Amino acid sequence: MNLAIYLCLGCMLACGIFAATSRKLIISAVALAVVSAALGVLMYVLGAHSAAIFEVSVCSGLVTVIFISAVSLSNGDRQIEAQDTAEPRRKKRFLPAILIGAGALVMIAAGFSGFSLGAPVAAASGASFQEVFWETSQADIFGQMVALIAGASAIVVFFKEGEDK
Amino acid sequence: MNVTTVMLVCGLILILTGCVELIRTRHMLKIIIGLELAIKAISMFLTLGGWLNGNMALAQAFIVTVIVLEVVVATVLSGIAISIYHKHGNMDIRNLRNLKG
Repeated sequence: MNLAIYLCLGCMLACGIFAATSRKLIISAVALAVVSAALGVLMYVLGAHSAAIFEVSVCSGLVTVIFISAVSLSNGDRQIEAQDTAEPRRKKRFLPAILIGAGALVMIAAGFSGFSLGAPVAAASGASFQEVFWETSQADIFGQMVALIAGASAIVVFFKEGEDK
Repeated sequence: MNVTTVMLVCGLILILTGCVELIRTRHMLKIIIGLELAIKAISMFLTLGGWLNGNMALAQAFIVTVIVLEVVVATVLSGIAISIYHKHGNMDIRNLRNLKG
């Protein structure tokens, strides 16, 4: 189990830093999808099965489609290259090294100070995800509905304004 | 150092990566990618909290809420980016200053 967790964490870190530093938006979107897939596997390994399904299907699928559609509707990659040409790229080269160095420093500090989150405990309650989600978290469900309606309305307004012009 | 501490450190690095990307670039789609990276770390922290406390059902409810809000934020920001591209010909975040009304 620990090996799977370490593999997922490594994949998330590598693809996350690659998504942040890549100059191609399509490659960044695909790397972000790999981060979502690795997070979904991590959730499944830790026992969050329903959330893992949501993560893989929605974040790794739908969000990637949205990004690639946005890049296709514009010339996003050319803009990135133009921005890179106009501005110095010296800082970008050192970004992965800085991030990995910061993580190594935090790990060394945690190791020297003896910091530890402790081991996981056994399941405290026997309530299933369905019971908690539909009975305890009803306010969250209403909030999600409002957010979804607001997002759909915003998209309709944006594309309507584009058609008027 | 156990696996939970390693997960915490990796989540912090992911949040740092997202914040650096938010600060560094001016392209709206890259800003959304940085924001998504930070939200992934938040989802991982929620999973870690549920695993540590043994209350994974409540953690999953929060994770699903975070995922829905993440998708809405990505969709709306992508729509704003495309609107800015149609108006100005690029996706520079500084063009938002020219909005009126």
